Amino acid sequence: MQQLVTVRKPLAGDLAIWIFILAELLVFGVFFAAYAFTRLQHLELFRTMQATLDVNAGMVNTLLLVTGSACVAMAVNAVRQIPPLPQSAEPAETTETSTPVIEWHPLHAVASRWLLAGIVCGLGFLLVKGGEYAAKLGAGISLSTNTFYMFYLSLTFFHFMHVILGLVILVAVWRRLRQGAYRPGLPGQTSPMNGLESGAAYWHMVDLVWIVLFPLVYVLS
Amino acid sequence: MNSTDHSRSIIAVWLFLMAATLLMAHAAAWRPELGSLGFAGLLGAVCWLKGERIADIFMELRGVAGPWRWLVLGWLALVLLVIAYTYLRGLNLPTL
Repeated sequence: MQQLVTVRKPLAGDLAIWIFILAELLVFGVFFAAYAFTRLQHLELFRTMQATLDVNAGMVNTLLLVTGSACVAMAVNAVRQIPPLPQSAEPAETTETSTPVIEWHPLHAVASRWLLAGIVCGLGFLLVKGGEYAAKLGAGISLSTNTFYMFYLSLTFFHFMHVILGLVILVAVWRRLRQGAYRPGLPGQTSPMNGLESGAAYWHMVDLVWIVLFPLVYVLS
Repeated sequence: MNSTDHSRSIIAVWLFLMAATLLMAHAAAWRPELGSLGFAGLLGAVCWLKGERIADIFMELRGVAGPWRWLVLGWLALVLLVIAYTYLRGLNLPTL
Protein backbone atom coordinates (compact mmCIF):
# COMPACT_ATOMS: atom_id res chain seq x y z
CA MET A 1 0.00 0.00 0.00
CA GLN A 2 1.32 3.41 -0.91
CA GLN A 3 1.63 5.93 1.90
CA LEU A 4 1.51 9.64 1.32
CA VAL A 5 4.26 11.28 3.37
CA THR A 6 4.27 15.04 3.75
CA VAL A 7 7.82 16.33 4.01
CA ARG A 8 7.93 19.46 6.15
CA LYS A 9 10.76 21.88 5.43
CA PRO A 10 13.12 22.89 8.25
CA LEU A 11 12.87 26.25 9.98
CA ALA A 12 14.85 28.97 8.16
CA GLY A 13 17.46 30.18 10.65
CA ASP A 14 18.76 29.13 14.01
CA LEU A 15 16.42 27.69 16.66
CA ALA A 16 17.75 30.20 19.20
CA ILE A 17 16.74 33.21 17.10
CA TRP A 18 13.21 31.83 16.75
CA ILE A 19 12.89 31.42 20.51
CA PHE A 20 14.15 35.00 20.83
CA ILE A 21 11.62 36.14 18.20
CA LEU A 22 8.76 34.48 20.09
CA ALA A 23 9.90 36.14 23.33
CA GLU A 24 9.98 39.51 21.56
CA LEU A 25 6.52 38.97 20.10
CA LEU A 26 5.23 38.13 23.56
CA VAL A 27 6.61 41.38 24.99
CA PHE A 28 5.15 43.43 22.14
CA GLY A 29 1.85 41.57 22.54
CA VAL A 30 1.65 42.59 26.22
CA PHE A 31 2.51 46.16 25.23
CA PHE A 32 -0.25 46.22 22.58
CA ALA A 33 -2.80 44.81 25.02
CA ALA A 34 -1.81 47.39 27.65
CA TYR A 35 -2.22 50.16 25.04
CA ALA A 36 -5.62 48.82 23.92
CA PHE A 37 -7.05 48.49 27.43
CA THR A 38 -5.67 51.88 28.51
CA ARG A 39 -7.19 53.43 25.40
CA LEU A 40 -10.55 52.00 26.49
CA GLN A 41 -10.28 53.92 29.77
CA HIS A 42 -9.22 57.21 28.12
CA LEU A 43 -11.14 57.12 24.84
CA GLU A 44 -11.52 60.85 24.32
CA LEU A 45 -7.89 61.59 25.18
CA PHE A 46 -6.62 58.89 22.82
CA ARG A 47 -8.93 60.02 20.00
CA THR A 48 -7.85 63.63 20.37
CA MET A 49 -4.15 62.85 20.67
CA GLN A 50 -4.13 60.34 17.81
CA ALA A 51 -5.33 63.16 15.56
CA THR A 52 -2.07 65.01 16.33
CA LEU A 53 0.05 62.20 14.85
CA ASP A 54 1.41 62.33 11.31
CA VAL A 55 -0.32 59.41 9.55
CA ASN A 56 1.69 60.05 6.38
CA ALA A 57 4.97 59.59 8.28
CA GLY A 58 3.61 56.33 9.70
CA MET A 59 2.55 55.24 6.22
CA VAL A 60 5.96 56.06 4.70
CA ASN A 61 7.63 54.13 7.50
CA THR A 62 5.40 51.13 6.84
CA LEU A 63 6.27 51.27 3.14
CA LEU A 64 9.98 51.45 4.03
CA LEU A 65 9.79 48.48 6.38
CA VAL A 66 7.84 46.21 4.02
CA THR A 67 10.18 47.16 1.17
CA GLY A 68 13.17 46.45 3.41
CA SER A 69 11.72 43.08 4.33
CA ALA A 70 11.13 42.20 0.68
CA CYS A 71 14.76 43.15 -0.13
CA VAL A 72 16.07 40.96 2.69
CA ALA A 73 13.89 38.06 1.51
CA MET A 74 15.28 38.53 -2.02
CA ALA A 75 18.83 38.43 -0.61
CA VAL A 76 18.15 35.09 1.11
CA ASN A 77 16.57 33.76 -2.07
CA ALA A 78 19.60 34.82 -4.16
CA VAL A 79 21.99 32.96 -1.84
CA ARG A 80 19.78 29.85 -2.08
CA GLN A 81 20.59 29.68 -5.79
CA ILE A 82 24.33 29.30 -5.12
CA PRO A 83 25.47 25.68 -5.46
CA PRO A 84 26.59 24.01 -2.20
CA LEU A 85 30.30 23.45 -1.57
CA PRO A 86 31.54 19.89 -2.13
CA GLN A 87 31.35 17.57 0.90
CA SER A 88 35.11 17.75 1.50
CA ALA A 89 35.13 21.52 1.86
CA GLU A 90 34.19 22.66 5.34
CA PRO A 91 31.35 25.18 5.39
CA ALA A 92 32.41 28.65 6.50
CA GLU A 93 29.98 29.00 9.38
CA THR A 94 30.70 25.69 11.10
CA THR A 95 34.34 26.45 11.79
CA GLU A 96 35.03 28.53 14.84
CA THR A 97 38.79 28.26 15.27
CA SER A 98 40.14 27.31 11.85
CA THR A 99 40.21 29.63 8.85
CA PRO A 100 36.79 29.30 7.20
CA VAL A 101 36.58 28.00 3.66
CA ILE A 102 34.91 30.79 1.72
CA GLU A 103 34.21 30.51 -1.97
CA TRP A 104 32.84 33.67 -3.50
CA HIS A 105 30.10 33.32 -6.10
CA PRO A 106 28.65 36.10 -8.34
CA LEU A 107 25.27 35.60 -6.65
CA HIS A 108 26.87 36.75 -3.40
CA ALA A 109 27.17 40.20 -5.03
CA VAL A 110 23.49 40.09 -6.06
CA ALA A 111 22.45 39.06 -2.56
CA SER A 112 24.62 41.69 -0.87
CA ARG A 113 23.03 44.41 -3.05
CA TRP A 114 19.56 43.25 -1.97
CA LEU A 115 20.64 43.23 1.64
CA LEU A 116 22.16 46.68 1.31
CA ALA A 117 18.85 47.93 -0.12
CA GLY A 118 17.12 46.47 2.94
CA ILE A 119 19.59 48.28 5.21
CA VAL A 120 18.96 51.57 3.38
CA CYS A 121 15.20 51.11 3.92
CA GLY A 122 15.84 50.53 7.62
CA LEU A 123 17.95 53.69 7.81
CA GLY A 124 15.14 55.55 6.03
CA PHE A 125 12.74 54.33 8.72
CA LEU A 126 15.04 55.68 11.46
CA LEU A 127 15.30 59.01 9.65
CA VAL A 128 11.52 59.45 9.30
CA LYS A 129 10.83 58.27 12.84
CA GLY A 130 13.63 60.47 14.15
CA GLY A 131 12.00 63.42 12.36
CA GLU A 132 8.69 62.60 14.05
CA TYR A 133 10.35 62.44 17.46
CA ALA A 134 12.16 65.74 16.84
CA ALA A 135 8.87 67.42 15.89
CA LYS A 136 7.13 66.12 19.02
CA LEU A 137 9.99 67.00 21.34
CA GLY A 138 10.22 70.41 19.67
CA ALA A 139 6.53 70.96 20.47
CA GLY A 140 7.28 70.26 24.13
CA ILE A 141 5.79 66.77 24.11
CA SER A 142 7.39 64.18 26.37
CA LEU A 143 6.56 60.95 28.20
CA SER A 144 4.90 62.92 30.97
CA THR A 145 2.63 65.00 28.68
CA ASN A 146 -0.30 62.58 29.02
CA THR A 147 -1.15 58.85 29.01
CA PHE A 148 -1.44 58.67 25.23
CA TYR A 149 1.98 60.17 24.61
CA MET A 150 3.49 58.02 27.36
CA PHE A 151 2.31 54.98 25.38
CA TYR A 152 3.05 56.41 21.95
CA LEU A 153 6.62 57.39 22.80
CA SER A 154 7.52 54.30 24.80
CA LEU A 155 5.89 51.81 22.40
CA THR A 156 7.30 53.33 19.22
CA PHE A 157 10.71 53.93 20.80
CA PHE A 158 10.83 50.30 21.96
CA HIS A 159 10.19 49.31 18.35
CA PHE A 160 12.71 51.93 17.16
CA MET A 161 15.39 50.22 19.29
CA HIS A 162 14.50 46.91 17.66
CA VAL A 163 14.95 48.45 14.22
CA ILE A 164 18.42 49.61 15.31
CA LEU A 165 19.28 46.12 16.59
CA GLY A 166 17.94 44.61 13.36
CA LEU A 167 20.13 46.98 11.34
CA VAL A 168 23.22 46.09 13.39
CA ILE A 169 22.53 42.40 12.65
CA LEU A 170 21.90 43.08 8.94
CA VAL A 171 25.14 45.10 8.61
CA ALA A 172 27.12 42.29 10.28
CA VAL A 173 25.50 39.73 7.95
CA TRP A 174 26.07 41.99 4.92
CA ARG A 175 29.81 42.28 5.69
CA ARG A 176 30.12 38.47 5.81
CA LEU A 177 27.91 38.04 2.75
CA ARG A 178 30.20 40.28 0.69
CA GLN A 179 33.05 37.90 1.53
CA GLY A 180 31.00 34.92 0.32
CA ALA A 181 30.34 33.47 3.76
CA TYR A 182 26.84 32.08 3.17
CA ARG A 183 25.64 29.37 0.80
CA PRO A 184 23.25 26.42 0.89
CA GLY A 185 24.52 23.26 2.57
CA LEU A 186 24.48 19.71 1.32
CA PRO A 187 21.92 17.36 2.87
CA GLY A 188 23.11 16.41 6.36
CA GLN A 189 25.39 19.43 6.72
CA THR A 190 24.79 22.16 9.27
CA SER A 191 23.32 24.88 7.09
CA PRO A 192 26.00 27.46 6.22
CA MET A 193 23.09 29.88 5.69
CA ASN A 194 21.96 29.93 9.31
CA GLY A 195 23.46 33.35 10.06
CA LEU A 196 21.83 34.98 7.04
CA GLU A 197 18.46 33.30 7.61
CA SER A 198 18.50 34.17 11.32
CA GLY A 199 19.24 37.85 10.63
CA ALA A 200 16.48 37.91 8.01
CA ALA A 201 13.96 36.28 10.38
CA TYR A 202 14.68 38.90 13.04
CA TRP A 203 14.23 41.71 10.52
CA HIS A 204 10.88 40.27 9.38
CA MET A 205 9.78 40.12 13.04
CA VAL A 206 10.49 43.86 13.35
CA ASP A 207 8.34 44.36 10.24
CA LEU A 208 5.54 42.12 11.56
CA VAL A 209 5.34 44.07 14.82
CA TRP A 210 5.09 47.38 12.93
CA ILE A 211 2.26 45.92 10.81
CA VAL A 212 0.17 45.82 14.01
CA LEU A 213 1.62 48.97 15.59
CA PHE A 214 0.88 51.28 12.64
CA PRO A 215 -2.92 50.80 12.47
CA LEU A 216 -3.23 50.53 16.26
CA VAL A 217 -1.46 53.80 17.06
CA TYR A 218 -1.93 55.90 13.91
CA VAL A 219 -5.15 54.80 12.22
CA LEU A 220 -7.59 53.15 14.67
CA SER A 221 -9.04 56.20 16.35
CA MET B 1 9.06 25.92 -4.68
CA ASN B 2 12.09 26.86 -6.79
CA SER B 3 14.02 30.14 -6.46
CA THR B 4 12.32 31.87 -9.41
CA ASP B 5 8.87 31.01 -8.07
CA HIS B 6 9.89 32.23 -4.64
CA SER B 7 11.19 35.51 -6.12
CA ARG B 8 7.81 35.99 -7.78
CA SER B 9 6.05 35.28 -4.49
CA ILE B 10 8.22 37.83 -2.69
CA ILE B 11 7.47 40.50 -5.31
CA ALA B 12 3.73 39.68 -5.26
CA VAL B 13 3.65 39.91 -1.46
CA TRP B 14 5.61 43.17 -1.54
CA LEU B 15 3.11 44.70 -4.00
CA PHE B 16 0.22 43.48 -1.86
CA LEU B 17 1.80 44.93 1.31
CA MET B 18 2.38 48.30 -0.39
CA ALA B 19 -1.21 48.45 -1.65
CA ALA B 20 -2.62 47.31 1.69
CA THR B 21 -0.57 49.95 3.53
CA LEU B 22 -1.91 52.71 1.28
CA LEU B 23 -5.44 51.40 1.78
CA MET B 24 -4.97 51.29 5.54
CA ALA B 25 -3.50 54.79 5.75
CA HIS B 26 -6.45 56.26 3.86
CA ALA B 27 -9.15 54.07 5.42
CA ALA B 28 -10.12 56.86 7.82
CA ALA B 29 -11.50 58.83 4.86
CA TRP B 30 -14.09 56.09 4.23
CA ARG B 31 -15.07 55.76 7.86
CA PRO B 32 -18.40 57.63 7.44
CA GLU B 33 -19.46 55.21 4.70
CA LEU B 34 -18.09 52.11 6.42
CA GLY B 35 -19.26 52.90 9.93
CA SER B 36 -17.15 52.18 13.00
CA LEU B 37 -17.64 48.42 12.77
CA GLY B 38 -16.86 48.27 9.06
CA PHE B 39 -13.81 50.49 9.55
CA ALA B 40 -12.45 48.29 12.35
CA GLY B 41 -13.27 45.14 10.38
CA LEU B 42 -11.42 46.46 7.33
CA LEU B 43 -8.34 47.38 9.37
CA GLY B 44 -8.36 44.03 11.19
CA ALA B 45 -8.76 42.00 8.01
CA VAL B 46 -6.02 43.91 6.16
CA CYS B 47 -3.72 43.66 9.17
CA TRP B 48 -4.28 39.88 9.42
CA LEU B 49 -3.63 39.38 5.69
CA LYS B 50 -0.45 41.48 5.83
CA GLY B 51 0.86 39.61 8.87
CA GLU B 52 -0.01 36.23 7.42
CA ARG B 53 1.82 37.04 4.16
CA ILE B 54 4.91 38.20 6.07
CA ALA B 55 4.94 35.04 8.20
CA ASP B 56 4.34 32.64 5.30
CA ILE B 57 6.46 34.17 2.53
CA PHE B 58 9.07 36.46 4.11
CA MET B 59 9.64 34.39 7.25
CA GLU B 60 9.11 31.22 5.18
CA LEU B 61 6.94 29.61 7.84
CA ARG B 62 4.47 27.96 5.45
CA GLY B 63 5.06 24.21 5.40
CA VAL B 64 7.71 24.37 8.08
CA ALA B 65 8.13 21.49 10.55
CA GLY B 66 6.90 22.10 14.11
CA PRO B 67 4.50 24.59 15.65
CA TRP B 68 6.33 27.75 14.52
CA ARG B 69 3.84 28.96 11.97
CA TRP B 70 0.94 28.51 14.37
CA LEU B 71 2.80 30.22 17.18
CA VAL B 72 3.44 33.32 15.07
CA LEU B 73 -0.03 33.38 13.49
CA GLY B 74 -1.58 32.58 16.88
CA TRP B 75 0.22 35.59 18.35
CA LEU B 76 -1.10 37.77 15.53
CA ALA B 77 -4.67 36.47 15.92
CA LEU B 78 -4.61 36.94 19.69
CA VAL B 79 -3.26 40.49 19.48
CA LEU B 80 -5.84 41.45 16.85
CA LEU B 81 -8.67 39.90 18.89
CA VAL B 82 -7.64 41.82 22.02
CA ILE B 83 -7.48 45.07 20.03
CA ALA B 84 -10.85 44.33 18.38
CA TYR B 85 -12.43 43.52 21.76
CA THR B 86 -11.28 46.78 23.36
CA TYR B 87 -12.25 48.78 20.26
CA LEU B 88 -15.77 47.30 20.24
CA ARG B 89 -16.10 47.86 23.99
CA GLY B 90 -15.25 51.50 23.32
CA LEU B 91 -18.13 51.74 20.85
CA ASN B 92 -20.56 50.86 23.67
CA LEU B 93 -22.41 48.31 21.62
CA PRO B 94 -25.40 46.79 23.48
CA THR B 95 -24.14 43.18 23.04
CA LEU B 96 -20.75 43.82 24.68
